[in-house]
Amino acid sequence: MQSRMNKAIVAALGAVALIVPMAACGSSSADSGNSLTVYSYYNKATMDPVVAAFEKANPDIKVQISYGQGDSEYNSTLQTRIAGNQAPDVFNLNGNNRADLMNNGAVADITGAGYLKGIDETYLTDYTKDGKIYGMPISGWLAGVVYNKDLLKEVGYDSVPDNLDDFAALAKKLKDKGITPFLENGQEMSGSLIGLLGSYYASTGTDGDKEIYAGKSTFADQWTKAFEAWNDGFIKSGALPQEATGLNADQVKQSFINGEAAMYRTGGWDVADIKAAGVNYGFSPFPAYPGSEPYVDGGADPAFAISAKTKHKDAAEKFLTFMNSEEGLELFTTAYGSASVSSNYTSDIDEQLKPLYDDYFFKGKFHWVSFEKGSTAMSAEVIAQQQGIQGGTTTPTDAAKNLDAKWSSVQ
Amino acid sequence: MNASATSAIAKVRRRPLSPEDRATFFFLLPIMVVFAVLTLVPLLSSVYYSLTDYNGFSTDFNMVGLKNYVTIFSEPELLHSLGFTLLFAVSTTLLITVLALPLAVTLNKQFYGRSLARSLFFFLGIPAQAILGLIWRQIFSPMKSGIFNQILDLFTIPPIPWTSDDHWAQFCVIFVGVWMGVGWHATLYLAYMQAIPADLYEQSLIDGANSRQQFIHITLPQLVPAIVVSTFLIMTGNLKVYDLPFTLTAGGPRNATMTITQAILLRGTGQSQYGVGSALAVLFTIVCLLLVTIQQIVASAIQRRFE
Repeated sequence: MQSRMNKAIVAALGAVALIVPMAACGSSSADSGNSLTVYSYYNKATMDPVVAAFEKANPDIKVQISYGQGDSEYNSTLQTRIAGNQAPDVFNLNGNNRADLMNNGAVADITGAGYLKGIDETYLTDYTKDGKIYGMPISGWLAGVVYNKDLLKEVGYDSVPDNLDDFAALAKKLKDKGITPFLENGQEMSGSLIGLLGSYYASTGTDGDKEIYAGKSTFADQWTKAFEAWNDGFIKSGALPQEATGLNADQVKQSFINGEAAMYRTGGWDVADIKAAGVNYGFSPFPAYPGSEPYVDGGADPAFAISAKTKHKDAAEKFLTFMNSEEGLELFTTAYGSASVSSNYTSDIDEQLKPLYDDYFFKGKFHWVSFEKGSTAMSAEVIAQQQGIQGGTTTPTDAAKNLDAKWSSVQ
Repeated sequence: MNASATSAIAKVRRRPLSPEDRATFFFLLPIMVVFAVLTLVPLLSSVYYSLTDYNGFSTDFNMVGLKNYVTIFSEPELLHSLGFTLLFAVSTTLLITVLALPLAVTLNKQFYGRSLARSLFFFLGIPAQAILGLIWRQIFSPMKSGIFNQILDLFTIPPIPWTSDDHWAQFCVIFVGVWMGVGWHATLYLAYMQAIPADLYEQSLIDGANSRQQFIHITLPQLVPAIVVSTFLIMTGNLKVYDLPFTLTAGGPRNATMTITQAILLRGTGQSQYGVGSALAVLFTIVCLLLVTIQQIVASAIQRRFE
């Protein structure tokens, strides 16, 4: 009898032990007192100093911060938390989640809020829908061509040519010397392609992407020319070899650092590594679309937003106010290595990269594609199409048509 | 139903639960709860969501019938991801089995450093798939500086576009999948081999059998139960592969190594089409059930043949 009782007790304890942690998953920890839950797109190293300073300035608010890594993990976790009524008070909107979150009423409307003061309107457009502002970006990113000055000198160049023909000529010389001319992350939308697209739009005077989103135009009309120029200048010229389709960001950087490649597409985030490796580097914009001016990739960094269902609105607003203060901006942009887009603080930028910010970014000569619907799927489709062009299996005309087909299928 | 059957059932019903039954029930209860909460409920809710247009945000969604299933069959890339997943699962199952069997036989022989060799092969599959994917990504780099390409260069063979060519990329994923699994499954076979009575081999030696004949007529038939277990484990594990192709090739190039699990995630959360993602998951579950059933039928037929 005793042993039977024991068995039953052990079994029951086992069951409870397994169930309790599961029940704990369902409980909400967001409602405790004056705490503010933040789910951050930016990593711990970037946010820790900011949060510490914020808590010091607001001793009555306790910040509970968690982090997501990379777009897809961050976006799916955030989506799950929102769907499960566990939305954090403050989170980030990025190119791939902003449309879904703004369209589905998950984000609070912050139009006219005092803490937006100082942020240039240009950078708010990505986070605006029907005239209402939903996100506050405080910094901006850009990417251009980083080049190895020593390798370029070997073939008689001081910098990267600003037009496609001369760029192709440089690529040929580098190739003849056994140096890979140009690389970029094959698993992302091609930065050189988007740079060319921006340059092409500058020549037509319209932002073709917006025309497509508005249903007034098609990818076939807007993207074919850029695809063709990219195919001629980067692919057929051999500047961007087909191998690049199988490389990720780290492998591309390695190839540049070990002197295998003379140029690659990057921005401020790689500067520390390039410097540490002792490469004699410089930055330039992407070569221009024929007859137009050069452009860089760029845009506002992921914006800070407040949950539509937050129970800690005051604390959340204080947090955003702090992010756009001189102290917050300095701590944030220094740790993240990006440039403030707020007049409340001017960031120190690497001297090689600074001309790109001054001559292109702050003059609006930047472009990036941020789809207004089905962003992840559309980005994946662009990658597949550009890989098709690189592999010679897809023509520029077909690539643009395939994007139209995908665009009509995404919701 | 005849009378005796009815009375037998009645007898079963009347029989009071023995203490053993109760203990068994309580011991099974925790895992049954876990199974119900973590497997059954999500599976049933997937079936439900596959019939809706739920987007992951709005609780205001509609029933759309079988529309999501139609979408899957009309999109070549989704079918392609299903195809590559099946190719990966079936080819790794065959290759691992074909390689692990002779490896186990070799590791079962007496030689200097045998324990070390056994540990080394077993270790191949220990690190997380994601980490192995990242390491192999460097080895299979399509650049001249890639490790394999440097080796090829020693023999003046031109570099191979490993992860940047559709077919080579598929080869890379399958290769690493096999490489990871061979040691582990050889260890499984090794454990079964220890249980083969030594006198069978002694008798066969007296009858003048050579080692090839011993392998074919003793080792292999005795290992049939192990082969059934091993292939079942490989097949079920590799049908749901995600980390390896994701870290090794990110599903590229041109979606050549996109697996069904990646497609489900891309569709469900990435594209806010929980309905299509769920339909894909349900369809995949059915395909898995079919495949595993076929495998079990074939396996038991083979087992009967050797009994």
